[in-house]
Amino acid sequence: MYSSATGQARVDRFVAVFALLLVIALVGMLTGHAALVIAPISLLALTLTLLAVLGPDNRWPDRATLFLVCVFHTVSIALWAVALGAIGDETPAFAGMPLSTGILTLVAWPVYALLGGPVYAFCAVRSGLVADVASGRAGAT
Amino acid sequence: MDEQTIILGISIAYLAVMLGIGVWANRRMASAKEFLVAGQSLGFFVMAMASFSSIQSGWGMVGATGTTSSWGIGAFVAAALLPPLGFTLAWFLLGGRLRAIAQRHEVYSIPDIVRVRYSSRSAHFSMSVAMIIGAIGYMTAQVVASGVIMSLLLGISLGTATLLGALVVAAYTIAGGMLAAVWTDLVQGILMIAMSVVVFVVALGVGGGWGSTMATITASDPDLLALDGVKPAAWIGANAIMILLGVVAQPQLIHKFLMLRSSRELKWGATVAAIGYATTTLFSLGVGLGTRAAIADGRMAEPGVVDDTATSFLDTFTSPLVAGLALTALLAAIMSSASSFITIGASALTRDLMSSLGLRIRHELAWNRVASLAVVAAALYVGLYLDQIIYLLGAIGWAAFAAAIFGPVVLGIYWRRGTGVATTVSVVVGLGLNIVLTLLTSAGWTPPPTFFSGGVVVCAGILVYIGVSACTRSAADRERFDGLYPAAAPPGPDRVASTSQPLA
Repeated sequence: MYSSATGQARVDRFVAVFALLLVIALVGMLTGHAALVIAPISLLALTLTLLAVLGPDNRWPDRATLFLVCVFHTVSIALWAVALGAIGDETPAFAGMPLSTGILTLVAWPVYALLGGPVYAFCAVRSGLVADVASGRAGAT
Repeated sequence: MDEQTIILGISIAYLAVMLGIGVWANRRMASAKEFLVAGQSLGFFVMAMASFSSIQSGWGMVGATGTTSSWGIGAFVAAALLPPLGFTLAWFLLGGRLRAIAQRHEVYSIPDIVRVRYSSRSAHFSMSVAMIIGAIGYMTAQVVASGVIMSLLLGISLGTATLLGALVVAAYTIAGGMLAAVWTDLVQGILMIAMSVVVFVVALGVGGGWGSTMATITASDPDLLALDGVKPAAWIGANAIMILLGVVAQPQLIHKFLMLRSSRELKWGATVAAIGYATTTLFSLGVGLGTRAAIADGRMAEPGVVDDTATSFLDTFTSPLVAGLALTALLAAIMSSASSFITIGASALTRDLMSSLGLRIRHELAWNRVASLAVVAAALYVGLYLDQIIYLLGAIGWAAFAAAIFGPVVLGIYWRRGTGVATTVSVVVGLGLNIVLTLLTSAGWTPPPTFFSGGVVVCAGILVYIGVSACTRSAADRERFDGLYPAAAPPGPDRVASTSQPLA
C-alpha cells in the first residue's frame, strides 16, 4: 500500500485541488471576504481524507471506505453551508444561539468529536492503514 | 483548613506526582531513543491521551477561556470546533505512513523525517531551525500561562511563579525525557477531562442553565453569540483553518506516531484523542460563556486582564477544593504541552541541527538534557519580552509549526514531486512571515479587523511548498520518496481482505 511511486497523477490532482482551496481561502483572508475563507474549510478536510485513503498504487479505496468517507464529509459540508448561509442573522434560533453558531457548536462539534474517530477506525481496517508493514526494523539510513 | 492551605496542598501533591514520574522515567533512561521517542513502546491509549493532552495547552484552556468570554462564541468556533476533526485527519494522513517510515528508517523527530524524505541538507537544517524557533515560541505561551496559574495556586508573585513553573516542568522532563512526558501527559489528560466536566456543569449552573445563559448574553450584546460578531467571520474562518491544518502538523502529535510499538495501536487512537480533547474544551466553553453571563447581570466584575478570566471565575463561583483541582487541571494542560516542546526543542538543538551540519555529537543523552534547559531559558526570556495575551502567543507557535511542517512532511510523504528546495523555501517563508507579522504587531502595526496572521502564514507556507515543488524537479528527492517505505506490505491480522473491487 505504501509503494506509491505509481499512480502519482491522482496524487498530483489532489494536491492541485488542495492548493486551489488554499488560494481561495488566502484571497478571502487578505480581502476580508468571509465566504471565501469559510467555504473551503470542509472541502479541505474532504480532500485530505480522500488523499489519505488512496489504496495501493494510489488507486481509489474499496466502495465501503469511499462511501463512509463521503457520507461523513457530506454531512460536514452541509453543516458549514448552513452556517455560512445564516451569517448575519442574529436572531436566536438554535438553543438560544443564532443558527450559524448554533449548528456549528451543537451539531458539527459533536459530530467531529464522536464520529470522526470511528470513521477512521472503520476505514483504517478496511484499507489496511493499520496493518503492520514489516516484522522488524530495516537498517537505518 | 483555610482556603489557601487546601489549594496549596492540592498543588504540592500534583507537582510531587509529576516529579515522581520524572524520577521513575529517569531510571529507565538508557539512551537518546528512550529520551526522544519513549523507546517506541507506547500502546494506543497512552499515546492517544498523551497526544490530546499535549495539544490541549495553556493556550487552549486559559487563553481560549478568556477569548470566549471577551469575543463570544466566535472564539470557541475559531479555536475549539475543529481540533477533533484535526485529530481524525492526523490519524488518516500520518498514522500508518509514519509508522511505516519509522520501521524502515531510524526517525525520532520531524527533521529526521525530512532527512530521509529529501536529499537536501538545507531542508534538514531549515526544519531543525524551525523546530527550535517553534518550540521556544510555543513554550513561551506555556511559561506565561503557568506563571498566571502558579501565582494563584501558591500565592506568590507572577515573576517567581513563572520561574517556578518552568523549573518544575524542566526538572521532570530533563530527568525522564519523552517517557516522563507521555506518562505525565496521561495523568494530566485524565485530570483535565474530569475537571472540565465538573467545571462545565458548575459554569452552566452559575448562568441558570444553558438557555438562561444564552438569553442573558443575547440581552447584553447579541454580537457575542454571532459568527460575524465581535470578531469578523473572516477572522474566525482563518483561525479555524489554522487550527484544522495545524493539528495535523503539530510536532508534539507527529512525534507520538513515532513512539507507537505497533501499527495496530492506531485503530482507536483518533477516537480517544478527539473525544478527550473535545471534553476538555467544555472548560473554555462553559467558563467563557458563564463568565460573560455573570458579568452581564452584575454578579462578577470584568477581569482586568483577559487571561485572568478562568481564575477569576473559579475564585468567585467555586469552592476552594474545586478551584484548587481546576487550577491544577489548568496547570496540567500547560505542563503537558511544555514537556513535549522541551524534548522537541532539545532534539532539534542537538541531534537534528548537528547532523544537518554534518556533525555528530557524543553523549547525546547528556546534551539533550543541557539543550532542554536552554529551551526553557529561552522561553522564559521571550515570555518576559513579548507583551501578548496567551491566546495570541500560542497562535504564533502554532502557525509557525503548521506553516513549516504541513507541506514538507504531511504532503511530502504522499507527493513524489515534493522537493528539498521547496522544503527549505517554505520553511523560510513560513517562519519569516510569522516573525515579521509578530514584530510588526509588537511595534504597533494594527492590521484590518478581518486579518488573522496565523491563517495567512499557514496557507502561504503550504502554497509555497506546492508551488516551488512544481517548479523544481529533483530526481534525488524522487529516489528518496521511492525508498521511504518498506518495499512490501505483507498482510497483517488487522488487514481485512476487501471483497469489493477498487473503483479505478
